[in-house]
Amino acid sequence: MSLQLSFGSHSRSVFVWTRALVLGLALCIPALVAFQCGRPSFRAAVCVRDITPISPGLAAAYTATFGQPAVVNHTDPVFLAGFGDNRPATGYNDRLWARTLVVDGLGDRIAITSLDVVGYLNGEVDTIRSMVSPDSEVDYVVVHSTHQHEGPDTIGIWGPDPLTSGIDFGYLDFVNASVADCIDEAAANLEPARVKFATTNSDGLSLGIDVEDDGAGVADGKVLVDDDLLAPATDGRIVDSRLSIMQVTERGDEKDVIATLVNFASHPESLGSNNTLVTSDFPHYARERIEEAAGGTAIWVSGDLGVLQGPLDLDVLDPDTNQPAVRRTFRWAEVHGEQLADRVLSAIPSMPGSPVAVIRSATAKPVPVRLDNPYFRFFIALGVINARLDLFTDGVPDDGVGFPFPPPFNELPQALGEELHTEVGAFTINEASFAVVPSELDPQIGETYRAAMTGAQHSFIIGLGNDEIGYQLPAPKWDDSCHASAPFILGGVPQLCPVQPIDCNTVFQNNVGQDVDPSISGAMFPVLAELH
Amino acid sequence: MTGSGPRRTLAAVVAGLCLVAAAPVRAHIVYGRPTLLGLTLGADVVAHVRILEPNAQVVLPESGQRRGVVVAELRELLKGSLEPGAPLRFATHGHGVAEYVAGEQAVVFLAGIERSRELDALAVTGLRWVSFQEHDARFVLDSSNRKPLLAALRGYVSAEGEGEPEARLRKQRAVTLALLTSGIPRLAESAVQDLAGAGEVPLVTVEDVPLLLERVVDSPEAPAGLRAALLSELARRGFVDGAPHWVRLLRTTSKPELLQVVRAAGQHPSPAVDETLVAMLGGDDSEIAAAAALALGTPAHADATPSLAASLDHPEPRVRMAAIRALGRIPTPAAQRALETAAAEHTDLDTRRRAAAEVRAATTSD
Repeated sequence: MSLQLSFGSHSRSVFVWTRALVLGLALCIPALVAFQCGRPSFRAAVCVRDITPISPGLAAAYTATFGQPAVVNHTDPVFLAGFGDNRPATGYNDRLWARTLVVDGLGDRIAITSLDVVGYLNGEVDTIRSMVSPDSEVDYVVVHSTHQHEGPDTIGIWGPDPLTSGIDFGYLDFVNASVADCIDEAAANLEPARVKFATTNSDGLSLGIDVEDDGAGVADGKVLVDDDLLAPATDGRIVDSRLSIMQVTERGDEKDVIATLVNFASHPESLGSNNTLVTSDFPHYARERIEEAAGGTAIWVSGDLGVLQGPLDLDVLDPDTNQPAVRRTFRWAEVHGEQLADRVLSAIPSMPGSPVAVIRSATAKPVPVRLDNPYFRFFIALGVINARLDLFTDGVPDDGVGFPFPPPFNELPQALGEELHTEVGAFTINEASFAVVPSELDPQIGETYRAAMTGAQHSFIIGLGNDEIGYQLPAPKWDDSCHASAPFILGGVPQLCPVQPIDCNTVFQNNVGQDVDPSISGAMFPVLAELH
Repeated sequence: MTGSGPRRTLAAVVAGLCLVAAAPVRAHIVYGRPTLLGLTLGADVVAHVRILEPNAQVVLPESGQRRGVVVAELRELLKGSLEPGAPLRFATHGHGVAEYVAGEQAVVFLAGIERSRELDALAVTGLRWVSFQEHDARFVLDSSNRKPLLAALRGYVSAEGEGEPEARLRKQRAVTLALLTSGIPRLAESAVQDLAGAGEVPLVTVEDVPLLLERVVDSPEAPAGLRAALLSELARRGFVDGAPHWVRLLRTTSKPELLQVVRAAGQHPSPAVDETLVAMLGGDDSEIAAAAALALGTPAHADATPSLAASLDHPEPRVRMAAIRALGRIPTPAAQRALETAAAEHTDLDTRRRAAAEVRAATTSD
């Protein structure tokens, strides 16, 4: 038996070799025991489920586009999420997927599912977990949303009008059952495997000709106060261009790829708000390219894409025309996705991965977060935001609704529960460390999580992991004007608000409140410390 | 206030309370559409323009970096001041911003470029304006909306400049009524949002009700969502008894709008509405039945528990799942028993699993 450990492309310092020796010894003994007991020390399997929303009105389009029979799983219309409301889907460009990788090593068994949806709330994740068979023996289920902006409304705020939820609960039930079955299938098909990691970045993949594009392959669409002090060279634009990669291959033939998981921090929203075709956006083209070149199943996992990492202000060079691809087109998404895929493929080391994996996980649940956001309270009260979301007061579920604003705003309903409950988690697979955050995380905070992954050579941030609670930004950079002015904005008289100017950028409007970062980071650092 | 009491109160206002997203900066997750009034109040300049170049560019002198801008010809300045003569140029910023086509006429709501932290550097190019209009705040003029839209904006600007409150209210009421009865859904929807957000401010009065019922609430030509929203608001203000109108709305609307009406009606419980929803639950259309089940899934509809329990044996999975979901939201022993029975005895595996999950959720929340 030989143990081969990947240490990526980093220089191999004495420190690293020392760690390798210690880690090797640590792995060796349990690995020997495991082999002697007949249990392989690393196994993996994938599964995929088509979760494309198919309504009666779109069934013919589905069949025409994909050549597959359409099984209706959604009511008409399918409201596309992510931008403004009332954006009904008119057809399809590509399918949406639930893609699951189950890894089983020395220690824990973990299921990582990536959904091509805008976000998936913790209550739905718990429903999935309750539906996973105990026989699958999964220790930690991670359900991630890529946060694409061209799929069904799974949160509720993108319906036909401001007061009508865009959620079809029948569709959520379908997704829940599909994911649970997918996890069960993968857990039942675990096979001996190898795992390796790599880290690269997207620097240079965009042309840098827009004032908001620094050539990093991802742009920062929202500059916070004092960001210019942190990043003076880019006028305060701060991005995380890291591409973290995990590849799992078959044990016997390491060229036979089982799965390639890519972690990248950018909103999949390049088609923009005028598009009405269902698509998973540029990750679709990245996955296709990776699968074509490497085989196996490609899994896209969005990272710390908050505040406000995205592709909308980027230009990319179309190799067919040698000109910038036209923005907001599927060709743009294709070029960008394939560029990212090529960068990923070139970074994966050719050496065989490790046949042994020590997998450890730690979680904190529930993580209470004080709900400050009056807009969220408004839409929870109205049932526009997923009505399965529970709020809590003193740890007890509280579905109360009231009218706490003084006149003349005392007609505005507000959910009264003091806090929402979410969760954080982390896991390690050999030299790689993964933080699972429920938010759209500011990369500035993401860097602090990565720094806490002591000794890890490859760091992953699974954003929108097991929940979607909105943006998480550094507490000192909080601007309360949007929340403070909520009754005035909701009441239609923002000009009367004593707090001026009002910054209701999405990073403040779609934000649980000032308590997010203290709560999430307060839970995350101990979890990471448990593993590092 | 908590529990089912506020749900009834809530039901009275639910479809009528909307956002007036007048905040100057809006981005990709937008709660509702902005109203004309909100956009007008939040803008430094409101202008009727003809688009000349939708994809022009300005270039920063030192870095050579560029930014797409829209170049337009001014047709009418509705608010603010502009330098005369030169074409109007503005950048756009946000997620999913409004995009234009050369030659079309539009109303644009502009802010000074210095209000954008991301784009204020463009001021060195001489660019003065930025639009934060997202795609759902794109107002392109055509023969059907030109006159009422421009008239409404002139009215709002005029009211904004009115110093005397009663005169201001009189002008706003005139615009509100004109928009509500314009027959143009987007404009009427804007007015109903402002109406609901106004609390008790008399943007409409009881004298307006017959016209509003005839032209909107009871008009099959009006969009169902608009009818529902205005009905809710008129009922909340005590101008009408909502129940008979809800029943009429339910009975005279067809799919796909009916699904929306069913959901809205569920927020307005009354014996007559409940009876109608229960009848839909037992109807032939599984999609409508599922929507009715979800609409009945609130504590205010606890009397519907037997009907929901019976729907657990519906041949269509969609209806069964909706009934499970609804029963899970009714915190009564009878609803819980129905779920437990389904979890233990139902012949369909998915139904058993989903019911069991709902039972576990209910037990956890206890």
